[in-house]
This record gives sequence, C-alpha cells and structure tokens, in this order.
Amino acid sequence: MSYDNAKMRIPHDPALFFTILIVATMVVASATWLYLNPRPTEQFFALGILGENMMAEHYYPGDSPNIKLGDVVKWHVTIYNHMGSVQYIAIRAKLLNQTTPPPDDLNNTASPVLFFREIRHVLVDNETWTFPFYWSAERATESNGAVQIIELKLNNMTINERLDTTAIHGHNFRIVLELWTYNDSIDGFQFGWRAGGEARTAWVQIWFNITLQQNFEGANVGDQESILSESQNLFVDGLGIQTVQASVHSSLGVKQAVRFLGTLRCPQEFLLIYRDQERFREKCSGPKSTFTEAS
Amino acid sequence: MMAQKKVLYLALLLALASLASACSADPTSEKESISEAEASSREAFLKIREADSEGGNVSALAERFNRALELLEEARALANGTSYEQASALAQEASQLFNAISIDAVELQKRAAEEASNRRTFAILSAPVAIISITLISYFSIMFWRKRSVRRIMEMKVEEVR
Repeated sequence: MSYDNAKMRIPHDPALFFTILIVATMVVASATWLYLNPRPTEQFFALGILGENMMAEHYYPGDSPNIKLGDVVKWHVTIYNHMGSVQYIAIRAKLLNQTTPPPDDLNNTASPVLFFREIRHVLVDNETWTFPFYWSAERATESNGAVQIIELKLNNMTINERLDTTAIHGHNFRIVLELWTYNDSIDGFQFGWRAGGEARTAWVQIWFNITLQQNFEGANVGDQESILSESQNLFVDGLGIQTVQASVHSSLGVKQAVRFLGTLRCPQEFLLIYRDQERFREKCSGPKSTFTEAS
Repeated sequence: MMAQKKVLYLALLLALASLASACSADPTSEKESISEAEASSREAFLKIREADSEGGNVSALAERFNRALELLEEARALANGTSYEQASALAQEASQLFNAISIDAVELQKRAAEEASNRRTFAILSAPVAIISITLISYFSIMFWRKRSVRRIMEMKVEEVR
C-alpha cells in the first residue's frame, strides 16, 4: 500500500490555534506589564562604622577604648542606598555621654544633642559611600571630676563648638552618627526616611573614654635632630610649676616640642613657654593659661 | 584749580572703592552667598531627582553635586573663621556649579523622558507582534509535528512476527 506524500493534508485545528493565542497573549501581556511597571523593592539605607582597616575591628588606637588627647581614632563610615532612587543625605555627628538621650528608634526621633559636624552627600540608587572619619580629642578640661572635650579635630578640621557634653572622669563618652535625609516637602533634612508609609531611622554609636594625658609618641629620630638644633628653656605650668629643660627648634610647633619632652605628663591644659609667642598663643591659649617667660 | 578738583574726585573714587571692598568683606554678604548656594543646592537636587525618576543615569550629576557640596562645606568652614571674602567666593563658585547642574539635570530629564516614552511605545507596539509571532510559530510547529507523525505511521510496513 502506498500514499501520496504531497497530497497528504492535515486538517487545521482552530481550537488549538485559539488556545495558543490565549496563552501567548497572557504571557506577553504579563511580561509587558512587568517591564513597564517594575516590582517595587524594599526601601532602606544601611549605615555602619568600620575600623582602621575598613573592617569591623580595631576601632581604637592600640585597641584600647581609653583615648588620650591627641590620639587619632580612625573610623570609616559606610552608607548604602537601597531606596530605589537618588537620595540627598546628611550624617550628623553628636557627642553624648552615658546619660544623654540617644536617638529613639520607637518614636523615630533624633538625639536632642546638637551635632558638632554634618556631612552631606548625594547617593544614587544602589550606591555605597565610604568616607574617613578620623578624629582626635585635642583639648579637654576637668572640673569636679567631669571631663569635657573642648576641642576636637575631625578630618583635619578643628571643632570647638557644640561639644558641651561632659563625662565623669572622662568615662563613657560616645559619638553618635545619625542618618538624615532630605525631604522636599519640609524643605530640609529629616531624621531617617519614610518607606512604605512608615518612618525608619538609622544611627550608630561607639563608646570611648578620654584620659587626660598627652600622647607623646610618634616623634622619630629625624624630628629630634631638627628639634635639637636650637635650645630654649621652657616652663611647664598646670601640675604645679616645673622647670623643664627642652630643646626646641623655632620653626617647629609646640606639639612637636612636647613630643620631644617625652616623659612630661601634662594636665588637661599643658602650658608651655615658647619663643615664638604668636604661634604659642594660637596653639595653647586657654582659660587657665598663665605663662612665664623662661629667664 | 582743575588739578585740585581732579585729585579730589580721585580721592573720592578711591574712598568709594575702599568702602565697596569693605562692604564685600562684610560677614553678612558671605552668609548670603552661602544661603544662596544652599538654595541652589536644593533646587539642583530636586532636578537631579526628577531626571532620576524618569530613568536617566544621574551618576555624573551626583558626582558633580558632591564636589560642589565640598566647596560649600569649605566656604562654611572659612566663614566660621574670618576669611569672609574667600568664603563668599567659594560659596558663589558652589552656587554656579549647582546652577549648571540644574540646567544639565533638566536636559537629562528631557532626554530620559523621551527615551522612556520611546521604550513604552516600543513595548506596547511590540506586544501584539510578539503575540501573533508566538501563536503562528507554535501553531505551525505543532501542525508540522502532527503531519510528521502521520507520515511516519503511513510509512510503516507491516511485517509478520515470527
């Protein structure tokens, strides 16, 4: 038995055609809808502090939370934007102690303490921004056991305002970093952000103690040689009058001279007589500064 | 007499010039410049956000914005000291940068809106074409497969099983 291959016809199947048409319509329509209306992702920011080596360790010099005056504390702050759009943010740094109220996560309110530094930045969606937060307590006073930092250096910028917080014996200070975002409806920055109709906040803090002892480490042999090129007598006041024989090069700052002294233990306000009076006044003037020229 | 008058006018002009320069060094003018720069920064950011919401790539604009912010921050730091003129100059420079960013952001927004519109139109128009193509290709593939199956059956030979 044989058949004619060319004449063989298979009848059309309208039911099959329409079934395929309906399925294809549904698939293509869904895909088009998803393309035109992408699924909203969860909106959030991530804020963190990393240590010296950009890792969650070594937050303090020598890994000791007891920070001396002049010690440089090296942190790195990271912020990740997952809000689905470009965001204008501000990081507000505040100095708190154990009892001053921190930000409130439940009520989404910031700490009432005034910020001593604000850093603003624009982050595009899905961007992580890391910036150095290198700070040192340069000057501090003690009154009735309460220590107050009166001068802070942050990223080489000297700050001596809005540092009103005191801590008993310098214990349990903390630096709080709060994340604020720009809200055009209030034409200003708001604490935290709004996502899905809810207010959310992000803040971090690190505790430390301040010890009223100057850091004399770091002067190398080269420094000492240059310091030794000219001699001068210095009086050091504050822990009672002491006379210290020191060699100071006239072109060097007071701090380098102090480093050279090495064994000198300073009070919270060390007082030095320096030949260059102008520079001296810039660096060391304070409320208790009374100096006597070395004879 | 004329020479004396000239000298007098010259002295008057010099006095006015020094007065103007003193006024320009006034802390209020530098504060005004900073406020102006801040207002420009807010406007520039809103424009960047509009461009971003249209799907434009705002990375370059954000980078420029952050550079201008650094200048503004520097101006603020100088204003806290006594370098009023320098602070004012930096704030004005920042303001100009923000204004330039605003203009570029508007351009980017227009381009992004146009591209987004084109993408939407393309997606909507290509959907029926895709539906018809998928339907026809699938239908005729199935029909071809059926025909092939029938042909295979027709080509079979009946053999006696021993």
